Amino acid sequence: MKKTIFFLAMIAIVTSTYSQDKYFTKSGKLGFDATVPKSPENIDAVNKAALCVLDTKTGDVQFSCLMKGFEFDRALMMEHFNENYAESDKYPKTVFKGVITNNASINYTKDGIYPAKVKGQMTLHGETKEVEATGNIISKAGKLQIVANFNIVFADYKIVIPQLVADKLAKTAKISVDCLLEPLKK
Amino acid sequence: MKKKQIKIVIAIAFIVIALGSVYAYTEFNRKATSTEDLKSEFNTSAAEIIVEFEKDNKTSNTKYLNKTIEVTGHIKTVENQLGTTIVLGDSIHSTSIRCSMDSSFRAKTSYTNGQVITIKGIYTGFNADDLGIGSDIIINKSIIKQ
Repeated sequence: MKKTIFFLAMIAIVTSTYSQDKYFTKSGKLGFDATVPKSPENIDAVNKAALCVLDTKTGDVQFSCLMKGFEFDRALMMEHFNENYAESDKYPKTVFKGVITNNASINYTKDGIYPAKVKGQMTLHGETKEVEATGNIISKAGKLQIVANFNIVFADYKIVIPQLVADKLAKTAKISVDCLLEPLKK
Repeated sequence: MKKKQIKIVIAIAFIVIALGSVYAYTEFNRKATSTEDLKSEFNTSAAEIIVEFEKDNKTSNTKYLNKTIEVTGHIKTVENQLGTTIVLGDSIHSTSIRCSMDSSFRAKTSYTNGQVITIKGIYTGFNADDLGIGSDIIINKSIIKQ
């Protein structure tokens, strides 16, 4: 009896560690764009080291990135972003934890493009807010690509834009997500 | 005499404004310094820095944050998806060093796993192992030194 339990436990452990339910990447791309429409000045940055984990069984999805990892073209913009707006030393990480609401309609194992809706909580600048986004999950050759776009309102996260630059910096930022996930093998 | 003084004051004011605008303009357009031109503040080996972070990642994080560092170590993997990331480390430690390569980076040769390499970049942060996929020392805007 003890042996059976032991074997069952072993099988459970082995199958859970080798299951192909979980996908991840450590080099996801997150884009940030707060350019005012028609403004000649582009305020955009890219983070190429975002972490993303997706559990295809439950639809749980999690992103995290280091604020200091956002690269701007202009040095001054990057300094302002880190020092005045994001306060990266105080709040080094941004985390999103959510769930794909239409997970049942996505066939992860079959190649194709599947529209996905995700809902969850994002913690940025020490504030946690509900976020909803739509995007696509592209399944190809055993890998999953997550592509999504959504907007965040700076005021929601208590990021104050000084009056002086209010006409140059949009009140909302467009966030773009592009992550290529691979099966998680341990 | 008075007129001359006024003229001098106007001239000085003009020069100050002109210099100010030039400074503001160049400061505004200042590009991020390329990693090539940055002076390395730390020179270490992959094994050393990994041990340091595994011992106490908070102190190490403060020590290295925003600093330019040079790390020599074995290549664990090279990832070529949406830009290149070279991962340094070994199989003994669960912590790796993830060097996301600068946008100017073009692979001159193909890199093989296990090869010893020196990478220079800016330490950006530490990702603790919250999700059970190993913790990482993140180095950004990396270039190959050797």
